[in-house]
Amino acid sequence: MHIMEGFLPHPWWELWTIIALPIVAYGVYRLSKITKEHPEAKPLLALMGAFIFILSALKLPSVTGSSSHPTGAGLAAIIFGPSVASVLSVIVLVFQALLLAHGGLTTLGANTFSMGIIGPAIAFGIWIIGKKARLPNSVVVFIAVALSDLGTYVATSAQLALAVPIAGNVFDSFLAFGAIYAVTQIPLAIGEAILAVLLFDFLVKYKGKLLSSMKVIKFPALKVEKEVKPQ
Amino acid sequence: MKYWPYLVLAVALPTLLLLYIISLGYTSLASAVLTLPNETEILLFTVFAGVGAATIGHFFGYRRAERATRNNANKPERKQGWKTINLKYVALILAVVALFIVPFIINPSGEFGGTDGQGPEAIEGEGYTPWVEPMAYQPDALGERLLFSLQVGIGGAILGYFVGHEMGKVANKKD
Repeated sequence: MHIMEGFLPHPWWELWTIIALPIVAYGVYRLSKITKEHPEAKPLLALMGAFIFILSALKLPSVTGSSSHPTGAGLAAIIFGPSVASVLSVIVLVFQALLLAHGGLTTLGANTFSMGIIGPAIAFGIWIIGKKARLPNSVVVFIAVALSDLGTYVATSAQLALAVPIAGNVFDSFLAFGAIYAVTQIPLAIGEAILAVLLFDFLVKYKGKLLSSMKVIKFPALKVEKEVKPQ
Repeated sequence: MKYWPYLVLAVALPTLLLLYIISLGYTSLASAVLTLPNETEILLFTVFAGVGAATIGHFFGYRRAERATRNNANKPERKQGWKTINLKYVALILAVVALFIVPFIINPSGEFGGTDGQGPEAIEGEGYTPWVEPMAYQPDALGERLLFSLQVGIGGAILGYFVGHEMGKVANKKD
């Protein structure tokens, strides 16, 4: 999903950078607020960053005969909110742009938009709706993370189609880029979603109290307390 | 605290990694018996780095949790057997692994090129040239493997430490 350096021409890279900046800035503000309100959430924050670090470097093969990588930002959005996931994504994207020539500095805004804003926003939106509908947590996490991963690649396809319409018009180009990016991503999105469910399950079991105090989940803490600390 | 799982991994992982490097033909010991697509080769290196770093992280996290609770009580070590491993998790992890092995069975001769490279190729095929070259450091093939492994290693160490610490806290609280 990384758009390489120099592949977004003049008005577009500035546009995405300007769109991404205020959201990342708001994320930094949210980040400092969360760490002040819940200092015990700091290890959890590091964990979410680590999850993105791992997943965004795994070049996994797909049934289409090409490989791609998941993003990992969906779970962070569910737990800390989409803007915090944007900040964590920027850290990873800067690491990859500076050290791996993967993505780039001019395309940082566009990549942040697809991986750190659209993806997390989808995950957070589905999470909120799923909670309202009282669906089981693991099911909602699965759907939210899978669609957020896929949405990121659809967003990348749209960004490229708008800036460099290779097939003549924007819509046909969108389909052409979608065939490269989004179709490959489908099995990866499922894989990422399963891993996210595993980690979320672990967190509910071991950090249920913190998660419910952060209002991520409602009351499994009661059940977990009995299980974990019988005394 | 049980040391044997760590010891097994501490021996097994470097051995497997060494075998992997030799079979790729990177050493003068043997010619390449294993040829993998570039992206898949990187993937396996990063998986080694991730599992290794997570093991080390888990060890230190678990030990820290254990030391923090040692003074509270001198309880005999709780017997933990295989029954503590939940079958549901094993099934899910196997499903993930299967999901990424199936492509090789369906498509044994596939190139498995990265989409991050295919997108730009499609654009350049239409006559577009990037208006700016990557400004920062551009690694070679070895550097790419090392840096991706570093990235997964950092993440794996944090993840392993967190998981080990939490598990250690709970295991030492129980009677």
